[in-house]
Parts: sequence; structure tokens; C-alpha cells
Amino acid sequence: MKPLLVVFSFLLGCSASAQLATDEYYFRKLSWVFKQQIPSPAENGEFKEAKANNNLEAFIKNKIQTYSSQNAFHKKMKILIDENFRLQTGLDFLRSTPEVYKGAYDYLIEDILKNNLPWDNLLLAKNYSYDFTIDRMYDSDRIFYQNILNASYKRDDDLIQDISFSDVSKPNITESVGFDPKDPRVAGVLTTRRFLMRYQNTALNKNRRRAAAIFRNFLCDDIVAAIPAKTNDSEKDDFDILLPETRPQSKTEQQLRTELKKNDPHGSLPGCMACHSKLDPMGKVFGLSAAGLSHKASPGALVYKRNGREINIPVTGVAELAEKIAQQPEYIDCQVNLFWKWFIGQDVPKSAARHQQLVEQFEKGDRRPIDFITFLVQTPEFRTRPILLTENQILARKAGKILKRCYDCHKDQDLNPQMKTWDLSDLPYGEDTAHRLALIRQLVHAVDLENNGERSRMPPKESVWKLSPQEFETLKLWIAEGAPDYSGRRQVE
Amino acid sequence: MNVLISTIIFFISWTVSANDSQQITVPAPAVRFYQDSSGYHIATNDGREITAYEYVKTPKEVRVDLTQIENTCEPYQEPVKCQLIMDMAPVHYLLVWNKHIDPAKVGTVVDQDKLTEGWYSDRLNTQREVRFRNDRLSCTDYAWTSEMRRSDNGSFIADAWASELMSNNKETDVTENFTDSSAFEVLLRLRANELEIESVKSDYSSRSATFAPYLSAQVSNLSFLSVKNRTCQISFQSNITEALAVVRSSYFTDIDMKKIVPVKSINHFRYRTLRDLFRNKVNSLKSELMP
Repeated sequence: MKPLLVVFSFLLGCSASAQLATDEYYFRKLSWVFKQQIPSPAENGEFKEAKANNNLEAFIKNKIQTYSSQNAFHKKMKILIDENFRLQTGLDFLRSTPEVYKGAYDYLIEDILKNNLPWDNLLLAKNYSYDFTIDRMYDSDRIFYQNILNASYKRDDDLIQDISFSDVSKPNITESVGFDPKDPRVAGVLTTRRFLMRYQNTALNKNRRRAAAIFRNFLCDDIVAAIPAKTNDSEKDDFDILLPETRPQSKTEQQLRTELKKNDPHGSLPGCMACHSKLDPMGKVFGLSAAGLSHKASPGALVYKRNGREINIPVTGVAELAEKIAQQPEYIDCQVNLFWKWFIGQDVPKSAARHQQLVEQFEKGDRRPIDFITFLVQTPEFRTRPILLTENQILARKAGKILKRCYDCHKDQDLNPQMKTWDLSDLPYGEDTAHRLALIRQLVHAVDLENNGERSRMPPKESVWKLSPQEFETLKLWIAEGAPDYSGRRQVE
Repeated sequence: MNVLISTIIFFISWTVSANDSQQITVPAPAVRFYQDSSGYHIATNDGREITAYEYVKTPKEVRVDLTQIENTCEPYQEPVKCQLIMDMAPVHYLLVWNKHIDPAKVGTVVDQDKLTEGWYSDRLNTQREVRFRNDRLSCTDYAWTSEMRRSDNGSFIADAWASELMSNNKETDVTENFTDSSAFEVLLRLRANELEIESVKSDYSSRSATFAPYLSAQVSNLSFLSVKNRTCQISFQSNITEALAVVRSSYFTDIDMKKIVPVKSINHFRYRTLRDLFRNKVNSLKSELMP
């Protein structure tokens, strides 16, 4: 399945400059996007007939409606969503087998797609279904949810059933569990076993990994891990000093900062602090969850920056966090961009006005995914025939992808006035050639491009991410070619 | 060519015989697993019966050193050292012939398995004669409890007490350290300068756990919603080396058949052991009775 999606993404990604496709091309593309197949001969016949009868528009609308309700499309969407959550793909939720377990996460997504429920259900759903087999009891969501539903749940009955029928090939039983709509402990995919297992927690991590996944998936805010290499001895220092909520009165803030720098380079770096100021409050909503779900909600906060201004929304637990996220404009932008990436192409440009139209359309359809997809595949951007990119356009995209990682860290660092927060992947760098040149020189110097980063300032030594030799080569070539922008135009001569 | 023809003929005859054999209907052998007031039994249609028994050894006191590595709400408080004190004992589970056509076999052991159990895994069992004392914490200082909420009877409430384990993440296929098991709403009562674990509301483990969820070979992590409505986390590095030695030293001893008693309760800690024991025996008896 993956190669198909890659090819599909590539085709969509090729449309830097493009021309309107023929009706035949458009129909084939629709069929491919929804079914991963070209139209059948019978469908082609229907198409020709509709065109001859001047009934093409109705025919296409009807086909979109049919295709979008088919299992093949839901399966494809599930893979895209799984990939977005960085979960294992290929779990066939339409055909459960003993080897493939279908849990609450899988059913929740299936429910949204099959019934065209609001996309926000990913965050807000309170009802779950899951497969249960005695043989896979410990992989089951029954125990996961029973933990907070019925603490005195015993398994004696399961044992009797288990052993008595051990020679019978038992099919999965689909069970359901529902929570009160106001239950503060439950929030869509965030409180599914697959999400919590994928983003495992430790005492040291304090649910930051889970918070980072939420920022990435729902607010399109990539947070790059920057953990310094450490010894066992220094780990304890991290525990004691990293972002303490209280500090002894005997120590001044300056003394604490000095200690912090000495003992914990990670916690003292502005880049790290910028991320932790967002991750730590959000991670707290999982603070009592440990391995499973907790009986109590744990308070936390949604903290991030909007145009340099801090947004800080205290929440009573994971459910309120999910509700608040769904209300943020960044969430809507992010989800609209996600669908744009999936159906139009990540690098197909759209103006701010066009983006706003899409947001309005998403809202108009109550954020229902199939409605929005139906709209997207009828847009001129979808119907446009892609044209292969030039060498420089490809180079700009490769460089932009690398430079985006710089921005992922720097975007929250305006606490430090000496730190520039411009987005290096936002090409071109303004209209003024001298300004462009200055920024490119700054970049070349910061990463020490000439010496492949031997004396580089960026990425900082503490960062997990280092530029690979291939990435250095890409950036060198990009500079040598005049640092072309996404249209392939050289920024400097 | 001859070889090829022979192969084809063999394949055809094999296919035919395979198809033939699929059409044979085998009657299900009558082996029944059931539970009654006297315990758990496996009965066959030829009059044999197996009953599940257990032999619980005298518990030994096991001490697990816990060294505080973090207190998120009081990061500058002097770290405490604690000991988690637990009564533990090996418990042997035995399947014994209760009825048999050969009288000499009655009372003999059919199969067995063993587990190390303690108060935590036994706390819901009211029918066992050998009782374990409640697990407890003995610490150099209890200042870390000052922000904990209290229950109606004054016990401290630890909302979650979890342990970490190095294991495989099924979603990423990466082996990593993570919180694997948790006990929820653990009530701790201060008695004789020890925090006794009075009760536990529920627990969850992503695997088939056999020990208390707070017992960890690495990091044990206690979290609670404080009186100031903030989530606090107290983490301990734990050392179970000595505890394991104590448990192992008492593991390989003879079973006193006079002291075995029927199994009356199956909680999830002993579920996997007993399930496998029962199932294997049920299946082997079915094979034996197969015409």
C-alpha cells in the first residue's frame, strides 16, 4: 500500500506550475485517489455516456459520493491517519483476523470515516468499541477501560469460558463502552491504548512525548527533541533542576540559573525551555495516567505562542484540553492543511485568501471529513494537471525541508532577543537582494557549511538532530545554484 | 520425466486424500472444565476428574530499597530513602487426580506450575488460609506526603503508583524503558512509622503481570493530585536484587502434599499460570480421548 501512496503523493506534489486537466484525466485521477485503481471499462463507458449527454457534472458528483463511501477509500484514509499518528499502518480494520487486533483507536477512526462524523471526534469522542478475544485478553481494550469503569472487575468468568471452549475457534467479539459526555478523563484517540502505548511514558519523560504528539498532530507544531548526551550521574541533576515549580527562598534566580547551566545544559538552553514551556503543562493532563487510565482527571494547560503572544489556557484534564484544542484557530488551520497535503499536495501553494476559503468550507461542513474531501477534489487545484518540477524547484524543496527543521526549534524562542526567529524554509527571503544575501550568509556561517559543520553553532551540540553529510551536500548545492526559491528563481547571483 | 510424473501422481493422490480427510467429522471429546464450591475441576466422560490445588509456602519478608530521584512538587526537599517491605511466598499450583479408573493414581499430581505471590496479588482472596501482611513503605522521612490528599479515614491517597520496565514497544518495535504497570488510588496509612498500603482501587498492566504494579526493577513512580490541585510525581530508583535472592532461595523445595488445599480464587495475577495449566491439560485429555 505504501508505494502506491508514495506515488500518489509524488504525482500530487509535482504541480508547481500546472494546467487544467481534461475531463478524462480528472475522472481517472478521482478513481485513483479514492480507489487506488483506474476506472473500470464499465465506468469509462458510463463516463463517455454522461459526457455525451452533457451530464458530466452530476455523474462526477455521484461518483465522488460512491467512491468516498467505499471501504477501499476508508482503508486508505485509515493508513494516512495512522501514518500521521506515527502508528503502525496496515492493520486491516475492515477484516479482523486473529493476527490483527482492532482496538478502540481503530474503531473510532472507522466510525468517523464511515459515518462522516465531525473530524473533532478524534479529540472529543467518548464512546469506544473494540474487539475482544479471551486469547488476546492482555491486548484487549476491555481491561484498559474496565480499569476506570469497574475497579472490581474479576476474570473468573473469562477463565471458565476460556478453558471450556478452548477447542473452538472463537471469532472476535466487538464490545462497546461509553463514558458520560462530560467525563473529564476521556478524550477521543488521546485516551486509547494504541496512542498511549505508541507514546510511552517514563518518570523522566513526564508525558512530554505524548504532549509533543498532540502538538504535532493537532496543531501542526513540530517539536524537535534536543536531549544532551549525558552520564548516569548527570541524569539525577536533570530530575532536580529541570523547570522546578518551586525553588528554595535561599537561592536567587541568578544562582539557580547558574546551577542550571552548570548541571543541566538541556534545561538551560533557550531552545529547550521554549519547548518545555509548552510540553510540560500539557503533559500534566496525563500525569496520573501512568500505564493505564486514571480514575481522576489531572489538571494541566494548553500553552503555546500565537504571533509571539503566549496563549495559556488552564484545563481540568485531558477532556478539556481536547475541547480547547478543537477551538483554536491553529487546530483548524492544521487540519485543513492536513487534508490539503493529502488530497492536493503539500507543496502546492495556496494564498492566505484561498486558505481562508478552505477554512470556511471546513467549518461550513461541520468539519466532517468526507464533506471536506468531496469539496477538495472538486477544486481547480485538484483538477489541475501536474507538470514535472525543474531541477531548481526540486532543490528548493529539498533545502526547504531541511531548513524547516531549524524553524521547528526556533519558532518559540523569541524570549531571547538575540535569537532570530525567521522561518528559513519560507522562500524567498523577501524582496531585497542584500537582505537575502545577509540571511544566507548567516545560515552558511551558523551551520559551518564550508567545513560540513565542524565548527557549527547550529544545530546546537545538545540537539539530537544533526545535519547528515547528504543534507550538507544538498544545502551546498542549493547555495551554489543561487539558493532558488520554490518557483526555481535564484535568490542571489 | 519419470520423476516429474511420480511427483504429479503423488501430489494428486495427496490432494485427494487431504480432501477426503477433511470430510471426516470427529465428535468432540467430552472433557469438561467447571467450577463449583469445592474449586476448579476438569472431568472426562470416562469418569476421571482432576482438581486444582495450591501449596502456599510460609511467606518471607522481602525488602526493596527505594531511593528517591525526584519530587516534582518539592524539588529541593532532601531526597528520602525508603524500603518497600513485602511478604512473599512461592505458591505451587497443582492439578491432582481426584477420580481415576486406576485407584493408584488418585491423589497423584498430574501437572504443576508455580508463582511468587504476595499481599498485592492475594489481596482479593478471602478464602486462602495463609495470609500475607499488607505491603508497606518504611522511609527515612515522610515530609514528601505533606501535600497528599487524605481519604475520609485519614489515609494518604496516591492516585497512581507505577513501575517502569524495559520492553518492546509494539507500535514502533523499539525496545525502550516505559511505564508498564500501575496501581490506582492506593491508600497509604501511617502506622508505627511505616506507610501501610491499606487498599488499592484498581490496577492495569499492558502485559500479564505477576507482581505488584509498584514493584519495579528500575524506576517506581508515585503520582498524586496534591491539596494544592497540582499533580506531583515522586520517583524512586529501586533495587530488587536482594528481594529476588530471597524469593529464589525458597523456590526449590518439596511440596508437603498434606498441606495442599483446593484453589478457590483466580485473580488476574495468577490467571495466566492457571489458564495455561488448565488449557494444556484439557487439550491433552481431549487428544487422548480422540477416537
